[in-house]
Amino acid sequence: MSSSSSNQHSTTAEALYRFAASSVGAIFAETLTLPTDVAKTRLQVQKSTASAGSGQPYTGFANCVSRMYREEGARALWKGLAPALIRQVCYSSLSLVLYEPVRAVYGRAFTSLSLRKDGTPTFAERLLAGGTAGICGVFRLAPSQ
Amino acid sequence: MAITVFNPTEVLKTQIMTDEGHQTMAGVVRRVLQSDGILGFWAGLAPNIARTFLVNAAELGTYDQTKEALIPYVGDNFFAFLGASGVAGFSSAVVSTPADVVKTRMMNNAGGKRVYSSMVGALFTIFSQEGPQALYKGFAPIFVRKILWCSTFFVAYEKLRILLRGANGNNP
Repeated sequence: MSSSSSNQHSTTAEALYRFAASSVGAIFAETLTLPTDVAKTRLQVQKSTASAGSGQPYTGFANCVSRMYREEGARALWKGLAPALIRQVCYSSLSLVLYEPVRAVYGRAFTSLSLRKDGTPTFAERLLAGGTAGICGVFRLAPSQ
Repeated sequence: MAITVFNPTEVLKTQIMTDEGHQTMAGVVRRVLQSDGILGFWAGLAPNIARTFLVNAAELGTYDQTKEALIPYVGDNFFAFLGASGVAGFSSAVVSTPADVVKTRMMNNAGGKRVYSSMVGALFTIFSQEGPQALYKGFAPIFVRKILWCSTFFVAYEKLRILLRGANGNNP
């Protein structure tokens, strides 16, 4: 095996590890932090004027979390986990699916601009493709919510 | 683009989270479909796009700069990342929370009675009926979540990548 092809292999493998690690990491982070999202959503829908139909409004973040725990049980803090994870997984898969075609588009552009000498995609291409595919979320810094 | 595709999952999430009973995904889907049709799943799309735009702009503008400024003091490590995420998260929460409140309200109303005519209408209605502070509801949990999410993700990501690379090293 020539050194350039083994190099190519390890770059692809590294990209795959990165993708897998970021997908699993995102699922992990999403699950762990969901209670703060439930509290946020409940605080936001609460009208400041009229008191909510079902008793006292929540007074703040901590109050909302502790009252949900007492009144509805610990499981209530993970309400909406299913759609939250569906969204996370779709985001990750979409950007994985988009990465190759997007890179191919850049590849054609680079070849026609004679910026690349042989058939190997350049580092700049990979970076651009990753960035474009990343708009869909995986390597994005922001939590999806 | 991705925001448009995934808007329905956010409508479902919002409605399940605010329900004090045991609302299921299928239950929400049925109710929204019956009352608003398929378009009901794109409730709150405009504030969702506005919010994402504001979040990205604020974070792009602050994250790298803060990280670069921190590295000479703390090194290029988890703490530089956490500090930069904190500043980026705080700035993005400052500019995006009003859009987030409007988004949550509009998504929560899908399949129910129509309270807000549009994103701008909702912004004015909330401001005039509930005061300016109502547009910053959820600021604390947004900020806390940002810090927690980034820390968890960072640690999990680094550990998993090392784990995967190690596993492959034994089996080339």
